[in-house]
Amino acid sequence: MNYYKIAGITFALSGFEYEYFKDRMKAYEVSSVPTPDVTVYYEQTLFPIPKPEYKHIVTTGGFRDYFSDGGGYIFYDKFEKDSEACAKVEINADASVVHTALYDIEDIGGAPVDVRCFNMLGEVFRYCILKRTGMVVHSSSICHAGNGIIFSAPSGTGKSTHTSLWMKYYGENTQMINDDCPAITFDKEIPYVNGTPWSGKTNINFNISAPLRAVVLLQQKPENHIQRISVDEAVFRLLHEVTRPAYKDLMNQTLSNIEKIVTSTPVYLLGCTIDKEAVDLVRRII
Amino acid sequence: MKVKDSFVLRKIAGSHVVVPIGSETADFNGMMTLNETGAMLFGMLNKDRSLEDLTNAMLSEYDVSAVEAEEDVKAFVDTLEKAGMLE
Repeated sequence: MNYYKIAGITFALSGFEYEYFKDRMKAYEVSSVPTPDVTVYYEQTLFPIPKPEYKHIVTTGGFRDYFSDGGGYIFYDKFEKDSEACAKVEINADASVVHTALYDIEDIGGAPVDVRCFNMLGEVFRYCILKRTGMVVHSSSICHAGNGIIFSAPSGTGKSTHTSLWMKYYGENTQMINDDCPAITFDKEIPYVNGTPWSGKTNINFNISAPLRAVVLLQQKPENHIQRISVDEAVFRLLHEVTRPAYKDLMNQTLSNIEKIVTSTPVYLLGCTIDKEAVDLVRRII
Repeated sequence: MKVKDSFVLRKIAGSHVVVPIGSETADFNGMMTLNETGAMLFGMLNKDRSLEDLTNAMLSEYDVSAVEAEEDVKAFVDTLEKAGMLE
């Protein structure tokens, strides 16, 4: 077993032996934990994974089938329409025990199995945190002078570029937390932004956390402009930046988390160009 | 008519939000916010209801004429229909 602690949750991992995986997870490794919150078992299978017997709920994106065994969360990925599965994830009802398997499909055009394994654990993590203390919000996040700030927007808007400007101009008291998928947790209703090993295309993530002081939603505009938005609008926009689970109970938990964020933390809409002025606008209101 | 099971209505921080579940990809069709009236009608549509059921509920809850209630209900149902929310 290898042990990790991510956003306050302890994981015991069995079978995750890829060098790539261990390297990406290194900053979150801890010494052995007697009673881990979550135990995850992994195996690389030699053959495609047969379709399971569970009750089918829904297919999303044409390749992922969700199932229910009456309490747990189960999904299998197909590598092509009507094929057998190349990935399985079976999470028990309280997300304490997880069984996973991958079938290597690199030869037929899939991503390398070690990369898929790492990303799969990222998905498992989303379930584990939703069942406990928070959720992942798609955003580039920083800690500036002790204040956690997340910058959220659809991919391609320039989140990472914007936070890189903070590092460039205010690097002495700014630290990146995670460039793509930080976890928001709550401690006595106070939200915190935490690093996770999963940071999208970049490898920019740090194992730190900071109290969340502002949520900034980015939009590319010819001029810089910032305004605080209503709770209504904040809910609606944030819903676009979180994973919407296929399971009703988890969707409800997601909505409760969004509610906690928008009622505790100011949410701003920043129309911005890619320059220092946009950074300074945000600095002034924090 | 009835709303599909795959849509969840929730009151979040004072606003009524309808969210589709089971479509975690980039497809955001079907997400909407509702006012009080919309939320009441949407809530009723968890069960099979007729236009008349909904119109009667409008009339007993709000101070509107029968004609207004019927028009509002039709417009609302039409919106849900176009968003693919009815089964």
